[in-house]
Amino acid sequence: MKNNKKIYKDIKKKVSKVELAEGYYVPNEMSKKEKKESDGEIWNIRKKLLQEMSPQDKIYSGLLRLKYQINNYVENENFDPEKSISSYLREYMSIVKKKQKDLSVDLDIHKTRLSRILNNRERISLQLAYRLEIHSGDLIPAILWWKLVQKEIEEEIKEDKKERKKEKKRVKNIAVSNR
Amino acid sequence: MKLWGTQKKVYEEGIIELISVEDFQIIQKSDQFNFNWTKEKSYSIYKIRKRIEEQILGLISIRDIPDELRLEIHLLEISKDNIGKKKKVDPLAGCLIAFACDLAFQKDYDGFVSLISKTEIEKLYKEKYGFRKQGNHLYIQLDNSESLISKYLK
Repeated sequence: MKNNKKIYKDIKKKVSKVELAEGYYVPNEMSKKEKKESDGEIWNIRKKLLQEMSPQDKIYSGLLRLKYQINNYVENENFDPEKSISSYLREYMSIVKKKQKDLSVDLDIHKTRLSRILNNRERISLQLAYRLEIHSGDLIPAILWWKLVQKEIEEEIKEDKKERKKEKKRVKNIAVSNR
Repeated sequence: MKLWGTQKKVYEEGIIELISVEDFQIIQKSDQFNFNWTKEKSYSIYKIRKRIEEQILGLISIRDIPDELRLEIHLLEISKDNIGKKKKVDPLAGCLIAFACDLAFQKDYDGFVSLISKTEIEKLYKEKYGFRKQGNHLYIQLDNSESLISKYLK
């Protein structure tokens, strides 16, 4: 079987330069020593860039991390009780370095309400999702917070037998029954 | 993400996901891919396809280097039918690279993705994708990574 270097050489003969760049990427083959040196070089670049990051850059990066983590979770079909709105909101507070009291002032909500949300005793409202979007500098869209709410409600509908039983007692004249 | 179908002239929903064990055989038997993707098994390999079709349109292998807080693109290949003027679906490479940036944010690497520079790709990766060159490497991070995600994965 041909190695990647040979394969790439063959491809180069068949396609234009633009097509080659658009369709293929394969690194140059390197000896172990060359690879080690190459990795050392990029690690030095990375370290330098990390040192140059401002506090604002760190918040920016942290908020994007949270955004893509939430996005990945809401796109996933599975429900994970560890990934609750409150856990993401706590992570948000940690990234923007705000305590409960400060965030409740920033978002204009009562600190008790924020506390209830953080302790899974209340869900965020649509209004609060909008405020969080604005507070994040539009980096975390309200729709993501709302999709987290939806995901929790969906799970509740699937699992909450107690509430269903309670509500059943209040319903009369069921349209179709015992089929 | 939206993939442009050049024949039907419509956008179709695309997805990127980890390849399965069965996919290796499909790739090997297919006349669409040149490289030996089984050699990439030590890295994470993702495929891009239309949501409604199983056909693999492109592949990327990504090396995770947690000690250096970065991801490295190790190999990328777009299926033969989707390269050049007669390509059926576009933009596949941009979506795969943007996906690596998305992962690099999720892993708390500041969206940092690197690859070893090659003369053939340098111009395109710098001008189209926003990579920067330093030494033998091309890299992307923070705002440039976010721009790439916004451009290709929305």
